[in-house]
Amino acid sequence: MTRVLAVVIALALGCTAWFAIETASLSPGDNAALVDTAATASVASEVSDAVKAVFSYDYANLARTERAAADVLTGDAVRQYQAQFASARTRAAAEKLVRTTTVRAVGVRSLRGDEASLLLFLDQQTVAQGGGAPSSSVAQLAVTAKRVDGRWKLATLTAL
Amino acid sequence: MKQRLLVVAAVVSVLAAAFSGWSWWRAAADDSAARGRARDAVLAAAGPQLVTLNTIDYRTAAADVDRWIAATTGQYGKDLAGDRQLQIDRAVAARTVSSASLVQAAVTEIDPSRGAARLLAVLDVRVSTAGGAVAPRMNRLTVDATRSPDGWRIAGVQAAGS
Repeated sequence: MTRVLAVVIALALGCTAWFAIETASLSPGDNAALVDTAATASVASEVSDAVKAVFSYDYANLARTERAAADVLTGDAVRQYQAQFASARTRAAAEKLVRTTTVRAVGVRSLRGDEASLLLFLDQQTVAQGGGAPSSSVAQLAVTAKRVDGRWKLATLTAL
Repeated sequence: MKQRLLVVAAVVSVLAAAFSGWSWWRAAADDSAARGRARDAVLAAAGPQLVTLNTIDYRTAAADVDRWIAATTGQYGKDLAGDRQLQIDRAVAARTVSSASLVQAAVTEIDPSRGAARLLAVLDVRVSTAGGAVAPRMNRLTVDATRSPDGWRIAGVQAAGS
């Protein structure tokens, strides 16, 4: 009887260890990108809207872009963006430029709690009110985003 | 007394085994976890495969094109296999040397049950022809991947308007 019980215990503990190892190997880790589809969709759409807003401008209403930037940027992105926008602003005013940025594609690379990293493909069209043909360009942007008070904000912006 | 302790220990360990078995079953049946595993698997496979598809040296063109074919599947793979000699001749004629590195990639859609995924990828491709200077180019791509019996393979690549 004692021997049978010992065998049962050994087998059961062996199985427990085996099952635990198998379960651990099935875990997708802590990256919720595409695992939590609702959260992935919401970070993708909020970050896309934020990027569209800060990379679009109208020479006649540059304040709108600045308000958007103040609203959706946080941390390092504030400084990174100001350096870029300062020169764009001068040119936009001088050449009467209207730039429209659209997000062609967005992918969420990682989503962990209140931090996410994303890859965006941007298409930009710039029209000079003073005449001249509209010019288009493309850009690839790596973004890290942070959720502040329930809203996703851009924390770093890296052109690839 | 010792017998009773053993009985308790046996019951407890059988319960532990049953619980961990159930956890395993639940993890295996969890669709969202399956998406996470497939996401990581397709990213790990597609990155090197995209680099392979942008790598050719006219001196080793035949082996390089064979590697392209091995990295692909479906109609895309069939098309490449059909064009094999054409691709080799073209690389030799132009004396093409191309190398690539993956800058960044992200999975945008994943369906583990169908074995289908879509990705975005940015590749830094350096091409030189006829011994000329290297022209670096950022390629931005949308990529389809399909799970084949041997793992994830590239099923299509489109330049995303660059």
